[in-house]
Amino acid sequence: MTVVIKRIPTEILTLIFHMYKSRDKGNEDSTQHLFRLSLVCRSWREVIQGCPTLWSDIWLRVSPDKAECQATYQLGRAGDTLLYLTILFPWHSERKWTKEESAALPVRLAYIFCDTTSRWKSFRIWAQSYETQLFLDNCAGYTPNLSNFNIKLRPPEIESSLPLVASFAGFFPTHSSLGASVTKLYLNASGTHLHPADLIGVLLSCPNLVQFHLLGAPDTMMGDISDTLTASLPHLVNLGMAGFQDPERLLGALNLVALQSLMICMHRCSPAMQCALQSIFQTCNSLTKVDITNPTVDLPNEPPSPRCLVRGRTVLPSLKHFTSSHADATIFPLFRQLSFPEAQTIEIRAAPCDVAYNLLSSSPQLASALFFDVFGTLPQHTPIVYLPYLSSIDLVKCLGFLNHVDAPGPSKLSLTQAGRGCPSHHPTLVRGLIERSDPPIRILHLCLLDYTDEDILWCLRRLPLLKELMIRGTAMTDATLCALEMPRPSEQGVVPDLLLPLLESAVIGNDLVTAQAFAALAASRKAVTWKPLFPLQSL
Amino acid sequence: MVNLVTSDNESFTVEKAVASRSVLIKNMLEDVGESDQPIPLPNVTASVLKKVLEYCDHHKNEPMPTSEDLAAEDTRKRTTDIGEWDQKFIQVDQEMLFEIILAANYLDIKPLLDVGCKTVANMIKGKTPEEIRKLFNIVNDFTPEEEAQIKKENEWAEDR
Repeated sequence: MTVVIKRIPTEILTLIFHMYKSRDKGNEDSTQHLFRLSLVCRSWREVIQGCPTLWSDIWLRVSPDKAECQATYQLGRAGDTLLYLTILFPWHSERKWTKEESAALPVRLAYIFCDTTSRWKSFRIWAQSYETQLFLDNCAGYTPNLSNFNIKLRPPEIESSLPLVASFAGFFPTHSSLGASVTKLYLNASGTHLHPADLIGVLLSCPNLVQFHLLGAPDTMMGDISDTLTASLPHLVNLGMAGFQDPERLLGALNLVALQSLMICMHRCSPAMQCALQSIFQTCNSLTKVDITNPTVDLPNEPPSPRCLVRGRTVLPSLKHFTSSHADATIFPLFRQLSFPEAQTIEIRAAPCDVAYNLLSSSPQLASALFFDVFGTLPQHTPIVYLPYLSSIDLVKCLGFLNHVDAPGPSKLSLTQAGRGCPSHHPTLVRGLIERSDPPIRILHLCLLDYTDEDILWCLRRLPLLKELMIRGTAMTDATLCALEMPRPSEQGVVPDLLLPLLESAVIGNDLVTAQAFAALAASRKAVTWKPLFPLQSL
Repeated sequence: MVNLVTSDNESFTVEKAVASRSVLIKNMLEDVGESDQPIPLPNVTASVLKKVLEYCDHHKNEPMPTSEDLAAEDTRKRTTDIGEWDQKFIQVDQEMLFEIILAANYLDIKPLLDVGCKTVANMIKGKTPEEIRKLFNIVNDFTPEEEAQIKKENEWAEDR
């Protein structure tokens, strides 16, 4: 052994071994790695075997022959340290054991862990609901240190003859100590019947919850919640809900004041949802991130419900990031009343023009805007929004929106229209923006636009600082590629200026461009990373 | 400015902000108050201190990790990601790498200790025990019987 490695003290070796432990996604079981390390030499083995915290991450992929050995071994090595327990039951189709074993294994594992619940710091289980229920029913105990509780229920598998669905209250431990220290709660309840009253009961037992994510099956309803049934979560900063058709039922029952991040993935927005969101926007002044997404992208635009009760302007004073993706039209009256004085990024997909305009015009600090399929038109003489700090503009299928925005110094401009053959978009607006930009734009993407060589070269000649370029699906031909080549000296020895001298990378994908011209360009400017997007014509 | 004296009696005069990246030196400066007295570092040689100070100088404007940060940074959650500059900085021979780790530990510069340990962790990742022994010139001091016995004990963990 070299002298210097011998001098590394045990606590540093332990730190190195902690860092070495595999954190591979999908397989966080580190026992194999620790065993391999302990075969290096006697002193390493002593360090590894003598360090309980190296063994306190117990990641079990359940199987009849190994899970119990591993659990017993790791618990023995982990001493009395806090435990980070993950139990992963494989899908039925991946199992090579009998149905009897399927029913017995959760119970046998529970017997191994039942005396350790007071040391659980984190508990995660991915299983079918009956397995979760069997394990927790046989393992319930005092959990004063539990801070992360994560249940991911697998949907019932048809071939299983075991009980298919357990009730939510059945698999969730009911002992009152559960929530005392829980700060993170993640429930994937897509394999179970979720009754909102049970869920509220669980939340009430977790007064210190900081993060709560709830996922249900897409076609499930949560059902009615009594008006008197509410849960105050004064410390909750991160809330995510997805999958249910009626998330407003739960959202409306929560009293939140400290929320910083809200993510809602929902198919339909009801007036009740609008009210629930407005209430959160009005009470949670520290909200910095809002993401409202519809997982389906082709919903018809419905007229707003007359029952919507959005009154007055709602200012979100701390909001930095706002995303709305294919949101249901019922939410738009609320969006029209929102104001984000500190917003940095706004992403809007599939929303009316006036909604996008309102959000932009109320966000004077905006640095990045992405608008995808913003539809409709604004009235004539609508004032142009001046955004002095806007550095990134990304417009997809809504280039006309440039009519309403003025930004003096964007560093990135990305424009995508529906493609050639679609109604032509006059490049005057783009030219105006490019001419006014100071300093000039560094990143330019022109995609699916009816731009000719003349239009494109006009842009490129005014962007001497451009570093990244993408042109695809335009009317560009080899002429633009030739203009981008390294210029040759004239007969008088004069070397013309190089177009885009600072260019670092470029993506070219046009069916009017030949592979030969692309190859010639790439050969003449080797300092640039060129990437072709096919089809390029080959002569 | 602060004057640091190494074990091989070389003197380094550095900005207080740079020297104070070391919690050990920072505490010494706070204890001593305003003083021109050189600070002896008997466990660090000049060549190693030069490297350590290069790190401290580069990171001098970054906020110091607070005790809360350190408490929150659960050891078991640490990743092996290393920043770009740090990666280049730590590209040194093996002996210097371990010397930097020892110096960072002695001087109490937690972020540098992390960079060093992560580098070693990355070096041994994916290697067999034999390859690790070869890498660090470690002698296998198990008897063949012991080795076989250990492998047998851990049989259940293999082929998973």
